[in-house]
Amino acid sequence: MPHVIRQLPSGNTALYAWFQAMHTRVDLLLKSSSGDGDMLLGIAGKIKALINDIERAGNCFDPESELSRFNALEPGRRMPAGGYLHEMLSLCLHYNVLTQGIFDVSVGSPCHTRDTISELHVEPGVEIWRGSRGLYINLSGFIKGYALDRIRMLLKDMGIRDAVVNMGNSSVMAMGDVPMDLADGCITTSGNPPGRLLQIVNPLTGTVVPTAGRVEVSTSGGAEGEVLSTVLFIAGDDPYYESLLRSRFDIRYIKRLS
Amino acid sequence: MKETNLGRRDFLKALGVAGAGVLAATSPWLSAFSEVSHTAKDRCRIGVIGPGSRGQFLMGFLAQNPKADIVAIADVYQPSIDGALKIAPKAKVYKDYRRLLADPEVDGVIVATPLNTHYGIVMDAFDAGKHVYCEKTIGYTMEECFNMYERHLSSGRLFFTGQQRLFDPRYIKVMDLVHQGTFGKISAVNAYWNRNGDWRREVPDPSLEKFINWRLYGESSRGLMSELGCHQLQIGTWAFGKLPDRVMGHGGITFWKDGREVHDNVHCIFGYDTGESLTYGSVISNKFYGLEEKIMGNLGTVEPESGKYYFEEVAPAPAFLQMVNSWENALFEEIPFAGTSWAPETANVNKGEFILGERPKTDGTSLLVDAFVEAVITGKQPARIAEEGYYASLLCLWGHKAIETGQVLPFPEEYKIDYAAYGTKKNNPTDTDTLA
Repeated sequence: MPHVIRQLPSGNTALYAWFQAMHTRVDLLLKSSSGDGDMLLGIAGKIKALINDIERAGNCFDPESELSRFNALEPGRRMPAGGYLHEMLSLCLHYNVLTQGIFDVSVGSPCHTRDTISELHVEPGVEIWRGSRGLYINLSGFIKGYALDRIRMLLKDMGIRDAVVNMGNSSVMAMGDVPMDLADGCITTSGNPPGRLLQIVNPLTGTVVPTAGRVEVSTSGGAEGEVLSTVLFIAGDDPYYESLLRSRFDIRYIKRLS
Repeated sequence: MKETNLGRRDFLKALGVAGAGVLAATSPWLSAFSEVSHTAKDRCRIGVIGPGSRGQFLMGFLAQNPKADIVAIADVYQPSIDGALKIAPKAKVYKDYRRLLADPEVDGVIVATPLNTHYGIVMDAFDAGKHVYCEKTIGYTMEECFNMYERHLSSGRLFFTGQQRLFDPRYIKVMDLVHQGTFGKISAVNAYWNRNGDWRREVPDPSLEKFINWRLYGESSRGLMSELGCHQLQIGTWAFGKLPDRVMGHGGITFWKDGREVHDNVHCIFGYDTGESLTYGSVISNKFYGLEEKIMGNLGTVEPESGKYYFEEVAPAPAFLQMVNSWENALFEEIPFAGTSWAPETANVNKGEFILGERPKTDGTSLLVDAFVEAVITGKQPARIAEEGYYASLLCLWGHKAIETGQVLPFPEEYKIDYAAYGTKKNNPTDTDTLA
């Protein structure tokens, strides 16, 4: 893993490491007061392994992933889900309710309707199953933010208080004392960048959101950031949804970018 | 009062570190500046033997250093003396360098004479109790280099060589990154120095041809190997941290057929016991690719001369490098991090990144001269500086021998000093603490 290690004048050690994962770049900036460069590099390795594990669980484009096996599962047949996939699917159902259906990871299903998501069944234990052959789950708009939340838990477990993690420039998480204007939170961006193919579908209408532009949201959590940036982009500047989301989520700011 | 040329703080700032202690493993000779604040009021007296073009270049840095007085010069060529006196008008002038060495008011000498004269002058200087800075290549033969190094140890006098890259912030930073494994496993260093010119100097009288153009004649020079290769071959040992064990080479006079005796194009391959290679080439009838040392790892490539590095796959993000620097220098100027305004510049075209965040400004010569001044004042030999110079000289003379014989030559055991012992009492009897 390419990296730079620096001893800081404060006596701390800093590591910057970067690599490719989840079809994008990942940047890690870690600082430790107690460990040396090798220790930080070891933590970076754990983060990379964690990201790979999450990707193996929830990457719908990988035919070997757990999610791909789920998407091909016979209706009614149950499969045990690993912890990451189980948690991601549970959260996605939860956020679907909180956003009144606008955040919908089943939107890519053939013949999608507002009720398609109800075909996703996540048992309280570990089993998951789908009620319809037409259900197709795509976690691409969620998985990076979820990974950021998991990385933050790992870093805290490892005693790291100061860190910045960037997932593909669209999902960034900062912890503690960092040289940027983002303390203990996440910035997430979603939308249709100018000049690119329109890609975000409104699950309420079944059509792509026709406008270019992006929404940037600052939140405390990465998964929430993914949900909110997507929903706010789809909902446009409708004050009803913004008010609803502000009442249900910890939103620090919302920026609409052309 | 003269302005100090020794901008230690600026130097370290250029390296992007708060203290050079962190670089001690990679560049232990930075210990030369360990007592720089304690020696603020001290001075040393330097004599310059051979103040020709290179000698005067070095004198220019001495003249800017408030801790150094150029008290004497020695040369047999009046135009060189005249030029040197413009830099140091009060210096005593000697025609015979031995009289300069006998001068008790000289603490240390800089030797910038033709290659074939280094040995006698340096050995005499050690015998006279003077500290020595000798331009590279230090000796005309490997045996001379070994004897000079041994005399340095036995005399207890300082021995610096003109390997300015040892103090070049770009190279120091690069080697720190290389040794940290930032660019992965280094398999090869590919060094070259190309020019398009005859390498001649104007001669006022034909009788002075060999005196002025000594670089072109075999009795006084090893040509491109000794005059250019010495700088770059040292990069190989610095990067790999060990010596090659065999060398092969080829050279010829293909373009400048003007009576010169040294090759106008040379190429050598140095091989390591673990498979890595160090190549060096120099052509002086084509300058298209110029000067560079390509340090090639499986994760990336460094080109220290251009001051840039390149990663094979994912490049580092400038914004994150900036944050590392902010932590290092405790500047904490917040980096704008607002979504699209903060894109880490992941361009498809790999344009590389500047090692020091900007274009290089110095080649390290001034700091090398300043380090010598500091060492003369403290009397302490910085770790590994003599050894790096010794091996740099040996590699170019060994390569030259391979070119001349057309054979694959093993490293001559009799000239080995213990590379692993660099910085120990064995090779550094006056070794000092590293810079804190």
